[in-house]
Amino acid sequence: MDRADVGALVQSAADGDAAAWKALVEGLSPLVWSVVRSHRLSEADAHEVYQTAWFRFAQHLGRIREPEKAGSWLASTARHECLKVLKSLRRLTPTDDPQLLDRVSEDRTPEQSILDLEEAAAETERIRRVWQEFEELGDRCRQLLRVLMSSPPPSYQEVSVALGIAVGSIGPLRQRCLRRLRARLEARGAV
Amino acid sequence: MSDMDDMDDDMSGNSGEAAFEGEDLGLDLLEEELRRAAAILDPVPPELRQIAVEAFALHDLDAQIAELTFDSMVDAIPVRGATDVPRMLTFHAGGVTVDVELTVRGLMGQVLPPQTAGVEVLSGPVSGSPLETDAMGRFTYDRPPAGPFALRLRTDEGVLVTDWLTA
Repeated sequence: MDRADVGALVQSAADGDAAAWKALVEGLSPLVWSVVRSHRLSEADAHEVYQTAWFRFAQHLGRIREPEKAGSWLASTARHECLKVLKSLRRLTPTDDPQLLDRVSEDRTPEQSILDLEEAAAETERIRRVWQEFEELGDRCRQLLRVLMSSPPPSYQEVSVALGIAVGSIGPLRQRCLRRLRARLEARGAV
Repeated sequence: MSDMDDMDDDMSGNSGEAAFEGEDLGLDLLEEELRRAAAILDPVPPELRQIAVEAFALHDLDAQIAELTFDSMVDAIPVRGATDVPRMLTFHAGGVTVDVELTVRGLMGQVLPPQTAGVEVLSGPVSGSPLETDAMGRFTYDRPPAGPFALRLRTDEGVLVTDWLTA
C-alpha cells in the first residue's frame, strides 16, 4: 500500500472512520498473513497471531508515532508474536510437515476452483508447481519469499522488520532465492 | 539458517551476486507468479479478515494502555525439564502494575497498589465476563484464554487495557 494513503487512512480510522479501518484491513491483511505464514506456525497459532496483531493495531491506533509506517508496525508486531509462539512451543512442526503439501492439493479456494473450471488447467498446474518448489526451498528462502509475495508487494522496510534482516541485504537475498527457485523449476522441466 | 550455505550447489552458471542482462525482469516475473500462487493457494482466510474488520471496536482512546513489561516466555530462563510452568506477565500503566499468572487452568492476577478494581478478560472485540478484585487487588479467572486475550481494568487511575497477547 502507498505510504501516504496508509498514513491518511490510519489518521481517519483513529478519528473513528470505520471505512478507513476496513480499507487498512483490506490493504494490509495479506502482509500480516504473509509474515505469519513465513514463520510456519501451526494453523491454529497462525490464526491467533494474525488476530493478536490486528487487535493490537486497533488498540494502538491513534497512538502510533509514524502512521505512514503502519505496515511496518503490523509486520513487526506479527513477527514478535510469531517468535514468542515459536519459543513457547517445543512441539514445533518439522519442515517436512506433510500438511503443507496437502494444502496445495486439497484445500481448494474459490479462486482455485474457478481456475479449474476454466480452461486454465495448464496455468493451474504451473502455479501448483511453482508453489510446490517454493515449499521445498530451505527455511530462509521460503521465509523471505513468503513475505515478499504478499500483495501488494511489501516495502523493503516492511520486509526488514517482518524478518529481522537489514534492508540492504534483502535485494541480494531475494535474487539468490528467486534464482534458486528458478533452478529448481528448470530441473523439473517446469520452465 | 543453514540453507544459505548449500545454496550455491545447484546454482551453477549464475551463482554470482550481480544480475546479468535481462535477469532482473525474469526474477520479477517469477516473484509475480509466486504472488499469484499465494493469492490462490494461501490467501488470508476470509473469517480472519472479518475478525480484523470487527477489531475496529477495540479502538478506544479513552482507555490507557497497560504495557507489557515482563513476559516469562521471553524474559525468563526456562527451568530445565519443567513443563506446564505458569506464564508470568506484568503490565504497567501510570502508577498501576498488573501481575498475571497464566496456567492451563486459567489466570490469576493482582492489581498493585492493592485496590478494588473491575476486571474484564477480553478475547476479541466483544466484551468479556466481568470480575471484581478483592481488597488486595487479586482476581481469578478459571478458564484459560483460548486465543488472543487482553484485560480491561477499571482502577483508581481510570480504565486500563493491557496489551493484547497470544495465549
